[in-house]
Amino acid sequence: MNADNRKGELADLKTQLRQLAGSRAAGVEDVKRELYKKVISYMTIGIDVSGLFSEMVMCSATSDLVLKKMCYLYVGSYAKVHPDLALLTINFLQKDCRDDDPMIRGLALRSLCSLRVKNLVEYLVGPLRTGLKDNNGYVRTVAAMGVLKLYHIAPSACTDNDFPATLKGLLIHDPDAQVVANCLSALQEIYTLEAASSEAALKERELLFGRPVIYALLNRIKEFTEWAQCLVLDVVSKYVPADPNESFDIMNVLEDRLQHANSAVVLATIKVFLQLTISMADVHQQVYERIKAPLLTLISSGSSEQSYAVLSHLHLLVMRAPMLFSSDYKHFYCRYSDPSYVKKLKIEMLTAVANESNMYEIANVDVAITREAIRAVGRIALQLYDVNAIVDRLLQFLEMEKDYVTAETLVLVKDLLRKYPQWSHDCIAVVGNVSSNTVQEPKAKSALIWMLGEYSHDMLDAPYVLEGFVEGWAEEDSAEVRLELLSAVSKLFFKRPPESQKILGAALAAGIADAHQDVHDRALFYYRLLQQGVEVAECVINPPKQAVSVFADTQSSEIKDRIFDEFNSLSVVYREPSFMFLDKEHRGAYDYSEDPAAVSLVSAPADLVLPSQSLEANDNDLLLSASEKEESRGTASNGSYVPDFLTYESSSAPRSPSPPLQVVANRNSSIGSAPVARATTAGRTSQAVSALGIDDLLGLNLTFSPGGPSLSLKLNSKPALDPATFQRKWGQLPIALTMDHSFFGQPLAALSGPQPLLRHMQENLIHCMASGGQVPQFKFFFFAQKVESPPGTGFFLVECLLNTSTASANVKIKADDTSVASKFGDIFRSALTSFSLA
Amino acid sequence: MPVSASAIYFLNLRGDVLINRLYRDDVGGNMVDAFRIHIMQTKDLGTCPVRQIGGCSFLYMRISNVYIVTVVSTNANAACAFKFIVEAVALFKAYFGGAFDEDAIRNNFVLIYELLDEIMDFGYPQNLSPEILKLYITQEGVRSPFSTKPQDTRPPANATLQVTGAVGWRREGLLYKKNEVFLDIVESVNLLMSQKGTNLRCDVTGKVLMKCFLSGMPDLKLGLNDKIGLEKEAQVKARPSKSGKTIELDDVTFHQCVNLTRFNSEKTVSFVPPDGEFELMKYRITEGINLPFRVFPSIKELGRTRMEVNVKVKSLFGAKMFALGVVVKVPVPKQTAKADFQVTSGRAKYHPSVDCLIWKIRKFPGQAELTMSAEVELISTMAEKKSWTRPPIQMEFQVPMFTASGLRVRFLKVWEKSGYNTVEWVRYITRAGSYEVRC
Repeated sequence: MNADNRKGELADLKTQLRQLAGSRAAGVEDVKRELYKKVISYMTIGIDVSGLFSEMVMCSATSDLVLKKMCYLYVGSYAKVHPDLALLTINFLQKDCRDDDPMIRGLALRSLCSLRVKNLVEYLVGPLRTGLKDNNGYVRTVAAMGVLKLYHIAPSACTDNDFPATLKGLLIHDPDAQVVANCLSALQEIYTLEAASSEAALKERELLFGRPVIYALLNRIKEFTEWAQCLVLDVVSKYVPADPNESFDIMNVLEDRLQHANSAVVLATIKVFLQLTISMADVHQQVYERIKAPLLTLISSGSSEQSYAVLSHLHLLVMRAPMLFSSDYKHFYCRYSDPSYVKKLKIEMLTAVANESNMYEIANVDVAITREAIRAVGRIALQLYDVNAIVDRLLQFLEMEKDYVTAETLVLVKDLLRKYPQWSHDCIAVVGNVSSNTVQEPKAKSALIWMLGEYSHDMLDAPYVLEGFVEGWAEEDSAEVRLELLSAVSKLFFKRPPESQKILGAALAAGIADAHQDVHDRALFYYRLLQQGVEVAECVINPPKQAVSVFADTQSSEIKDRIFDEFNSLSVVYREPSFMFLDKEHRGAYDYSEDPAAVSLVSAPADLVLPSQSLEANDNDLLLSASEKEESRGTASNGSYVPDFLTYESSSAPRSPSPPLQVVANRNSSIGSAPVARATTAGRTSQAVSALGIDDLLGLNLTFSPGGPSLSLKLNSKPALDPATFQRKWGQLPIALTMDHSFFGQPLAALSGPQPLLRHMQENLIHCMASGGQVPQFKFFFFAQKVESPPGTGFFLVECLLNTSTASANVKIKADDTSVASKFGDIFRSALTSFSLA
Repeated sequence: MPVSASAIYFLNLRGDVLINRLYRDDVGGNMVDAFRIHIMQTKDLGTCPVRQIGGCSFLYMRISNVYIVTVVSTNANAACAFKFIVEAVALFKAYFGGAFDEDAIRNNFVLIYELLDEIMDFGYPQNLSPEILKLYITQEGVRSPFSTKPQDTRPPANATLQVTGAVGWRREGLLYKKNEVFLDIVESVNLLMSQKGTNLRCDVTGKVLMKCFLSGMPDLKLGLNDKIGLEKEAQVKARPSKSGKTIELDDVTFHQCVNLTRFNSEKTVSFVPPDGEFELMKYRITEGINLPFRVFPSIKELGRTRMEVNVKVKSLFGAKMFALGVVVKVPVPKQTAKADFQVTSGRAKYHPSVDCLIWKIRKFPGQAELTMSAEVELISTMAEKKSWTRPPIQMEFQVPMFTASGLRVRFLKVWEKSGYNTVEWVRYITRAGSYEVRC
């Protein structure tokens, strides 16, 4: 349909509606219905029919209910765009609010509240007030929701008229359960929003959901519709009972809800049970037993989307109580027809429940599952101390000589060795038998190569195997493998120089000639290190290693607990607490512009994302970053080469999951700047001194703490704050202070990366959590801690937006202790000032 | 916060909006575009039913050729949101009388708008029970011409009273000349069997479906041969329970009309039924399942271009019973050219569109053994190094008067104060759920 045609049709509709407006002829209602239908269908497909507004309103004087509803729908959709025209409808809506038929009263009231036009609020209050007192339940349900709508349009109008108080009365006393439910939704939302700004509302809310209300709701639970039950249960789950007996009473009342046909009710009940017993360990365990059967039913009944939601919750529970489902693993076998997202979760579940007794059965089922199962076995080994039997089993896997089994096992054996070096003898014997030709997958290959390099002194033929790999350099597609090969060959060289000098030469030559930037750089780096002297190189490349105690991919228990608190919500599905996806801070820049092309920008500012969000980083990154951490740990006392090695390495693994802080701070440095960085860090001390020279002139101490005696606030030189806690605090704390800072004629325009400022701030004891951005906009998250404050408190969190083109910075400070926030602000400002002067 | 949906969209497969209903202002008007660009037009479509774009979460599901998308901006309850969509679709179906697809939506869009208005207010689910809504949304859906349901034109006497009443599922003053109750036990068997014939997984999900045409406010009581109920009865009456099979139900859920307190204390299922059709209870059983069929496949790959498929199916239920509509689907490689069949009963055919040999047997007697053997010819291809990963053999069937779990109705009692007589009809049927045998 082209535009002209459409315009013609609209004009046609207009005249037809106009003719019908005054007509009272028989059958006129049917004609009107048809016309309205047409208008609504145009509206649905996105054609703007707002031009018909006045005609539609003129025709709305009708007793036909369907016609009325269509008209209300139309008015509701366009009132916001045409607030002046919406005024036309007030009259007939108000009249309908006084109709004899409760249906019409309810409908009219609902439409009236849905107009969402601010200047019509005055017309809304009256009908709402009568609506809340209406003797018909339907009208009262609509009115209760209307109060919430009013609050969203004009909060003050809502509170000034004491509507929340009226709702409170209805909540306890209304005979109609649906009215109670709607009051509950409305009050909950209103108080939650109010609580953000006023203390009083927070108290009010606590009072509201205290014992009397909870009991009143629980006593009527069976009267509510299934959806309202979910709502009530959600409120109950937030209630903290006075003593265990009260918890048991509540659970007794709710026990039968677990048999409800509606899966949402069942899940909500489960949440209540879990929350009520959270402090009673043994009862909590019993609750798990009790909810097991209903949960398993929920997986197999209902649509696959529902199964997905339920499985996500199960996964959370299994993580908390792995033994719980270990005998029910058969429920997680995939069906052939399951959609991939369900299969994925089911396999994860199998992995989670796999233990020694059931792993053989699980492992026999499927290739995909075998892989996961092997991983699971390894993961168990990594968690337990008595790994003897498990290592044996893993080694049996290697003897099975199936490609994918071998591949997966190799990766695991490698991780295992990193944690339990004492097993090396047994493992190496078997690994040595693995033919390098059967290993094709990059991850497995690099694992094998790592082991060959690491244990080359125990493996006789290691040089020859590695030589084979080096000869095949050109055919090797994966840069990861080539990187690993370089390290392994170097390690080999330190252990068995005569046999391997030639191989190392070949590898370095191939590496330096490599087209891949990282490989090239690492080869060159090793080469230069070796030029400095073999011992120095060995310190850096192959230091003595400590066994890894905890791998970096385990999610912090704090985050897990937070997700658990938000059981039965999207957090569980996303596996992150709600503030991570709801707060604007964490979302990335995306406003709903009308241009659909702009939508594709969503994921652009990925480097602003805090490190712990990349929790699900793949093993590939892990392998690199974790081994580097070992190396860095081992070399920490080995002189001035360490920092630039770190810089260098971290840039080759750009997505390393939650690496140590200094790595975060440096991770945006470009690869090319590595040698430069060495120079700068070597001379860092002197530079720092000169940076503080101005402070010295002003009579401040020449310590690294800028807060000398003149400022009473001192900062801790080594604050410990992990990214997750930072994020949580950032989400919770209010902004204590905002300030704008301008740099006058400073070398800001020359600032090409976040590094200089990071270094500078660190010298001022303000540490960086994350940074990102490009010229001219940079974004930093800093933190600092007050000296001598107990662990976990006294933190200052800072978000700093720096614009180099306007030479200005916008700073937001949040603090655990807001009383000293302004002092910290002074410190921060003076730090910024001294940076500009440096 | 249970759902607080900001908007619900109905889209067709191309991404055209069929229906949209904005409940809240907190999402932009172009959220559909975001959905289209980031989900529909990418490979991610089937990968996850919950996606997040720019701080808004999209919960979506596909039903026939329609996508139903719920947009929320809060930390909503995902399970509840999906359940809501499922229930809403069930409601629409109850109104249209049958299919829910693009055409049905286009033909009934005014009605759907009306319903969307009632079932959700400002993003909070309200009342979704068709029995009640039908009382006051009386506009009949445009039924498909094949549907022959009688038109109920009786105007409701006091609709709004019912809308929010306590016994929400039944209206008063019903009168039938002949009082009848139909009860169906419908079970679906799920099986996953390994190549060697061991049960990897086996369970039964069952439903008790009822259709009531009863006058007044009757009170019904249902007794099954389940273990808990029987034991309780034996205790109460202080006599040993009759010998015979007792069934252990792993988990049971009931329609909201069932008095759960009484179920927990007395272990009897007692209820005031809604009028017409409804699902009384659902249960799940994993122990002691009688499989209706066993499948013995043997697939031999003879060289690169030939395959020999032999499938033997054995029925394990009583000789007096029979299964209907038995279908055995044997997957074959994509490069299959043709297949020659020999069957002892039924018909077999190669269906290239699904890469399956499909063998259909209209009526399969009990305690019988039928076989199909096929010679499959393959086109030899160049790039065919990898061995073909064989999907499992799937089976479909229905066995009337048989329950895989062995569940039986022991009694169904009806009490009403007027004391009328009722006629009770009980049927059993077992269907294949996902009945898969690896080969």
